[in-house]
Amino acid sequence: MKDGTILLVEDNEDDVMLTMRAFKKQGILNEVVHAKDGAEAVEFLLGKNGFDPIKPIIVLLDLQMPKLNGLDVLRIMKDNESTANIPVVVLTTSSEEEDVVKSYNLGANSFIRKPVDFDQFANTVGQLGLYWLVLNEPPPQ
Amino acid sequence: MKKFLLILLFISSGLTSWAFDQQKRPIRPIPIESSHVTVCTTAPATTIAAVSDAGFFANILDTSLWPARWYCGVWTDFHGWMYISSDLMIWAAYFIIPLILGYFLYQRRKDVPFNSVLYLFIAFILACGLTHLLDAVIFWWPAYKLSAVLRLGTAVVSWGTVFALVKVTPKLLDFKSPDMLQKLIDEKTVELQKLNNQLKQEIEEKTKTQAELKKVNATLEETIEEKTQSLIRVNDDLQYTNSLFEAVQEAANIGVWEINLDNGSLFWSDAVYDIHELPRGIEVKLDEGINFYHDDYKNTIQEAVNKAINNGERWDLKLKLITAKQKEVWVHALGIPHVVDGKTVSIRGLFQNIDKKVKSENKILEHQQNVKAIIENTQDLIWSIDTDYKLKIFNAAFAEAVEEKYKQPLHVGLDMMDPVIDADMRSYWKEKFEKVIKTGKKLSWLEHTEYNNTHSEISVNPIKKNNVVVGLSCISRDVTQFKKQEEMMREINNSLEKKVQERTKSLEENNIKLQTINKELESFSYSVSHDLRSPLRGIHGFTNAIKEDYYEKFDDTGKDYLDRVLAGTVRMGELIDDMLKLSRVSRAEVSNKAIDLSILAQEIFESIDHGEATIKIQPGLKTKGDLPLITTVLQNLLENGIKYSKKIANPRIEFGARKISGRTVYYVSDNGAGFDMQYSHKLFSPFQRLHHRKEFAGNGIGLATVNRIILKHGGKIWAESKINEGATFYFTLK
Repeated sequence: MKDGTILLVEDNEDDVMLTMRAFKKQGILNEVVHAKDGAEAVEFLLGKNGFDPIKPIIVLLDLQMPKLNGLDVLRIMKDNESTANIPVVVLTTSSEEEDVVKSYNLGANSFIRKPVDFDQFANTVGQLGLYWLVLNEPPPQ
Repeated sequence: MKKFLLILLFISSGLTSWAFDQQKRPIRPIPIESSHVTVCTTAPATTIAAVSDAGFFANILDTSLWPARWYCGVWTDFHGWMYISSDLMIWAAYFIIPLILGYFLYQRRKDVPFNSVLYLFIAFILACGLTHLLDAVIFWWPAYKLSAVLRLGTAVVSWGTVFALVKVTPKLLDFKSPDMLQKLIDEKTVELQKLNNQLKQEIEEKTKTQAELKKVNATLEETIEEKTQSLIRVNDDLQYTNSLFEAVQEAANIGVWEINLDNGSLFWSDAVYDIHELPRGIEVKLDEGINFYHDDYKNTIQEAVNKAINNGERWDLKLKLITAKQKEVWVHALGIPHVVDGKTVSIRGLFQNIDKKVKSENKILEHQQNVKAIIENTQDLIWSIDTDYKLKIFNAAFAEAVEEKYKQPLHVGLDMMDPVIDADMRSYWKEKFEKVIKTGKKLSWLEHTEYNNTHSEISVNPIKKNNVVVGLSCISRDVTQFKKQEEMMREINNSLEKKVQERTKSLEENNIKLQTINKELESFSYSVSHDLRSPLRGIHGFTNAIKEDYYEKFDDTGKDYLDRVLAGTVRMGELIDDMLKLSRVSRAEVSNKAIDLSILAQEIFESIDHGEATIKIQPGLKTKGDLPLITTVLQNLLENGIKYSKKIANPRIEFGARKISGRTVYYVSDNGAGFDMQYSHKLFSPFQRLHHRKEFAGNGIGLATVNRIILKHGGKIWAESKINEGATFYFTLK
């Protein structure tokens, strides 16, 4: 398992807690930085308001968020050279085709719908970690 | 004069012969002194006795009883030869005289008067001559019997001549003397010369007249020649016509017949026999002839015959005949009585087979009656005219309409351009008629009549014969009612259009509203998928966390409750997902691409968990539609089939199609649990189930989705089933 930060962009506290629980359950022990909305995620990634920019190994991005939504974040990331290569997994409750298409058009690497069943969710998160943190070779820093 | 001389000659010769005979007759004594003269003796008494007059004429040349004259008495040569020579000379003269007279008669036999007397005289002189010849011959050949007969004949002739002369003498006295004759001739000559002059004059006149006549004659001859030529031509024509006529008779099957009323005999020509179908020439009586007529016509012909016999009236009838071969034949019988002195002596006539003609006439009549019935069976005005605008055929409706308008009774042949019809109408119709006659094409138009506010649809159609217009057939239909209806329709239409516009407007407004609602719905479903599922996931997630983290703190009931919460949230998540699917189907755009249903069904069947089920797919089922949606349909139906037949021994699924009323109906059937048909109406409503979840899993959203997709394809879906006998789902696509 590779070292590195996971950036979780999620406005729902419940979902944050459950995602963290799922990580723990699946043995994913990487540092998780939580951005509570799109704007904060952009600040973290680009280092605004006095923050140093973070370089996450993967971004788990919710779509439906106040201020900047997930697709806005995705667009900004792909527009910035420093963030363009960071893999982005859209992790959302929606499975609207429109969202899926738009996400991929903006350069999302994966699109995952969060199941209601927590066991399934935990399982999904486990597989996600296995793939992105173990199997996948991230772009060079 | 000559006659007078002849008479003298005649009398003198008669006297001479008589005188000569007187000298010969006395029997002289036989001279005995001459030595060479034989004594002429009478025959002995015995011989005389033996001689009788009985066989006098039988033996007329007998000379046995007398010696030759030379030996009877004593003849000196001189005496004897003088006698003989004189007799011969007399005979010669008497022989020549008749020759001359005969020649004279022969040459001028026509104008010799009293020539019969002359013939008698010739006979008399010849006879006298012969007696003299025989007297000479008797000197050697004593044919005294012959001599006697000859003399008797001479005597008879002589006396005949005497009587004849006595009879003609008074007439002889009338004969003029040459002088008198000459005088007479002179007088006549003068008369003749007068007449001659007269004649000459007449002849001259006649010659003149003749010359004129000749001229006239020449002209006449020319005319005659011309007439003759033309007559020859006419004759030729007549001969030709005659032959034609004969041929026509033959062709027309016309026969002639005659009844002779004197003897009751009946003559038929061959054609008459042929028409009766009787052998030609057999004898037929009048009554038998009449018996050949059909019972309905026997009286008619009998009456006609009676009238012909009694009144001399002719007949000309069309009758029905029953032939010898029992065939009904129409004939034309014409009878013409031949009347002499007011009495009919015979009847002659013609007899023709007109069966074909009558039958075709009957056909035409029937046809006409049909046409009449047809044209009368309408309120339309129907009439026809010829090209001179003379009325030919019309129906009662036409008559009624025209008569009402013009107060004039209609009749066939009425000129439709008759002044009885007003001038405007005439020119109006004439123009139309002329147009149709000229173009040969049908003309129809609508006409509005002001005075009674009616509308008519009129059509004039040409009647053609050999492609030439010979008349016009016209129909006028009262379409006032139609017109009114049409106007009503137009009004209704207009108001409808208004309504439609209003409706369209409100629909458009509604549409906008609906679009708004739809958008709202879309965002609703979006928020459902996102916002509803989120808390649900929270409930599930944290319940799960409680269950895991605080498991020891719950008793079994608490644990069961937790499980029920978890199951409830999962199920709610599924319901939300199915609802989303359904709404997505409703919103989806339907594409129209070729799809091979057989292949698609096979692929789906293989991709889903079909357990022990087998499938039978009819190959080659092709349609057009939206592939993802149709896939959803087939998948749902196949899954259903598999699901509901899972519990039986040999689950079998079948996919195929049938033609029902020209439409392709697809079906998916199984041999599973089936369902009660009384609930079949609930099958396709969302969230309706016919089985308990414990029996068969499912949310009752599958068939609702399938129904929506089928509806979106313009099709229909229905199902048939019996409990435990499987179910069949039928569907059509556009």
